[in-house]
Amino acid sequence: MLLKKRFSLYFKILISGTMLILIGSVFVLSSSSIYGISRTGNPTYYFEKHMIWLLLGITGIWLINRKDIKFIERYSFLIFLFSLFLLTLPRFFGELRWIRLGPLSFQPAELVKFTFIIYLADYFKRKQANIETFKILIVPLIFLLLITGILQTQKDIGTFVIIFFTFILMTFLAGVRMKHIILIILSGIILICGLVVIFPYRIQRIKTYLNPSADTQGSGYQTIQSLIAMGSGGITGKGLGAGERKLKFLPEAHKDYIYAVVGEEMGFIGTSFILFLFATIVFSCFTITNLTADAYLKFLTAGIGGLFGFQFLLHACVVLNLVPAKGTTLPFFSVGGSSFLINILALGVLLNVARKVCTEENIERTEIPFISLH
Amino acid sequence: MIRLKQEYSEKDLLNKRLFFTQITFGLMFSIVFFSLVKVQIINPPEGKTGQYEKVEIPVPRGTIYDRNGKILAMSVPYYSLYIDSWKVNHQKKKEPSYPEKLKEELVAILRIPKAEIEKKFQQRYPLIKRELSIEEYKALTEKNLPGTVFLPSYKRIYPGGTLACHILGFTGTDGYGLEGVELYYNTILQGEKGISLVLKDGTGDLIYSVEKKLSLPRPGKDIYLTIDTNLQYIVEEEIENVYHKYNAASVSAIVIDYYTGEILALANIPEYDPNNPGKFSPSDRRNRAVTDLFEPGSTFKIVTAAAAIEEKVISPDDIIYCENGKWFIRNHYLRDVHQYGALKVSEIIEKSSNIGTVKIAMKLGEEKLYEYCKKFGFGKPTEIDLPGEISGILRPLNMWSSYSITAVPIGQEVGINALQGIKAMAVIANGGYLIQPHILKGFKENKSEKFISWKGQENQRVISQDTCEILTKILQEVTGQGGTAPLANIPGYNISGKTGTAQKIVNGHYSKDRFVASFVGFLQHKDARMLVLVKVDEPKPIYYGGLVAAPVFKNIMWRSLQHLNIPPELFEEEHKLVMRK
Repeated sequence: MLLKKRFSLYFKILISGTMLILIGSVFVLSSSSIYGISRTGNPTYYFEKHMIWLLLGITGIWLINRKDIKFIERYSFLIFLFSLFLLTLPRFFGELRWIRLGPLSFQPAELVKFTFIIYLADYFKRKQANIETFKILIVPLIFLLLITGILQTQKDIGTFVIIFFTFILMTFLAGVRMKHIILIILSGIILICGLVVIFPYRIQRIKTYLNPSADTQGSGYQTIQSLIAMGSGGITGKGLGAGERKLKFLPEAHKDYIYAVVGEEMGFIGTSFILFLFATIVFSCFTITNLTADAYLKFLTAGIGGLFGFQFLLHACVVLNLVPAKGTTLPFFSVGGSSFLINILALGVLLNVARKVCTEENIERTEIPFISLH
Repeated sequence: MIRLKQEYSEKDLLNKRLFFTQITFGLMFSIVFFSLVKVQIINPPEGKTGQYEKVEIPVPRGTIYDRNGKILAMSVPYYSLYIDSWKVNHQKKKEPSYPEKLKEELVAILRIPKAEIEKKFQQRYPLIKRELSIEEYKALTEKNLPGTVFLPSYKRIYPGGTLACHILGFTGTDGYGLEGVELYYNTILQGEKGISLVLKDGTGDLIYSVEKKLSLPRPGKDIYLTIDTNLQYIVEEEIENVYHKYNAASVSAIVIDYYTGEILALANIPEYDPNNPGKFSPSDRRNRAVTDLFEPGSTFKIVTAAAAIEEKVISPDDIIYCENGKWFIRNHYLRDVHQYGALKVSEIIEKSSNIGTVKIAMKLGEEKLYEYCKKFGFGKPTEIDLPGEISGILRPLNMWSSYSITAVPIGQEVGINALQGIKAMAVIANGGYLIQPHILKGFKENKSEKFISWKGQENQRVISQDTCEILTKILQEVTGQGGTAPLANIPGYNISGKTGTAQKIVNGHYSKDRFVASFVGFLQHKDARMLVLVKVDEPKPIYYGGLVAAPVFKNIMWRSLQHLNIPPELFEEEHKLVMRK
């Protein structure tokens, strides 16, 4: 009985993830063709690349699922260090954020998002005994600052916010004392305020957030367009591919505003279904966190859940003008190969863990009330 | 125990915090969910929907040909350069110096002053240059400058320059006919612009893949005129000569086929160049043969004579006393240029006696005269297929004064346009039928489609064949040695005609020094049916129709005969006589 329930958890993640990848691919095709035409003349340019990344991702899932998750746990720190090394690379090739590999280009910041979770899960498991002291936080904080610094030079505040939120979530669940967490959050806020003051274009974004109609052709433009796209979709949407706002009315519709494209073409039914799928994955993660006895797996799944949850929420909030505009991608939907690949790999790790947890006989299960949408 | 407790408390802490986390995420997902409900269902923000835009697809106007297929007017494609300032600004973000660079390129290629370009750049979508040359277009497209937009259009070209300008007319910059045939047959020539619905993206680019054609473009139909370019050229050259020779105010001439009503040539001077109509004054652009009114004078006597002979009031050999050039009638004196005693009816026409003509008219009576004036088509437009025709003046009978019977028969108190004059003369020439003068021979939709010919109403008989023959013979004498226009005679050909010398009315009185000299004559030949009217307005110092207009008629007729290769007929008989001797 218990086993059956657990298996249903594994399938929930599998089915939700598969549907997100499939629907996401459709919207990659729908939203990127106009950019494909104007940049390369080939409407399926981005879609073709997306398919290559998908193949890589599926291969990755297969590889990950052949090994036990202990294998990843063993090399957690090394994997993290390697990704940090990659993060510094674009500078040396004269690029802002990218490492070019033939026809594909890879964005190490996306990898760091994930490997930082792996590292933290491993670190907090090892330091579980002294978790209440502040000094064990010093090493992760140094890494966080390092990542922040590199990302700042790459003008990638969106990724930083995701990493920061996930970091807070993991410290919170790892049992760090609340006053330490509040301290970190406060310094984070001060840091962001500092960045806003230093780089004035971010002030403009905040002003726009507060009053998007003040300047409909300038900085408020994208927010207005995004809301119009959402609104014009109504309940059932205009039909797949029939959206108009993606035709360069929404800047970078295929990346930063793809949820608005979903809203326009599939309407409320589409957007709420996507929300439902993400919520399913996120809450499945927390269920695994609750079910598993292993601290590493607890933190890892919580981190992955946070990663998916924060990315979706931040993207949706930007599109719906609930937070100031910033370039954030929607996992499985936004065009951008490395982000897509990392999200698939994260999903692969999650599936690995879920399967392991589902088949474990001897786990302890504590009855706690947890939120489930199902 | 202690360890267990500690473990338990850790577990407890984790569970509490996990519970808190789940609540938090649940809340955030709910916020997004309700925000979706608000934005998508309850209160969708208003905004423009649909970025479809109607775009016109230009079509060429139909070509205008003469009767022999020579091109008189044609449309050629060209590009105009516009600047999309939005796209220029877009490019400016990537390349801050771009607007300056673009302006410099434009100055260099188009040779337009920088200040002018600066001024134009203030608009959102300025037209920089209409009708780019091929070199300019190539240079600009090779540079591939973002923000430059080339819009195709068509331009009207008149290869003949001023040739047949008053017939052809011209078009506006939007391609709509404004004068002449271009205006009259605009609906045939214009065709239909295609309209397609195109999707525009956020930067204003057209997305042609989503193009929907609402209506297909239909090019204008080609039309063929009755004009013979060569004759037209001859006429224009001759009237220009007389225009300069006699310092005239204007000259008009028309050549017509008197059986079919086809206008072979029609010209006025002053003239203009339809390629550049704006440079000429509106009076130069007026088609005076159609728009201008004049008193016909003596040429009108033909109508009086025709009516009287047709009604059998008189016969050509009847003798009428011409009062020695001065006759007191209806309270005023009527005078002739030369003094005549008794003249035959035929001689009255030949010598153009006013007194004799009025006496004939009085025998005929006012009612009959008026009836015949109307039958000959006076007082109403000829319905020529050219714009701006004036209807002419022929007062209704109840408005005639007692004096009118002494004025109308000799072409006073009536106003006609040149076409009405030629139409009336054609009745005599063709044996009694009122023809419909026209300029259109027919039109073709496309090269594959069949030729649709001009079709008028059936010609009405006005006078009998006999009357026409009698009058033709009389009019033939006009060009003889005793007539008023021996200068119109062409040896070897049967030329009939009538002169006219009319005083112009200036401020309500007949002027003593302003005249309209005219001659209308026709050729009787088995191969040619040409009727020519020449009207010279205010010639100085000589003003007699027989001296001013008749030689122009002769030159036009003679050169046309040579061009058309029409052999003389009379010489054949004389040649036979010589051979017999």
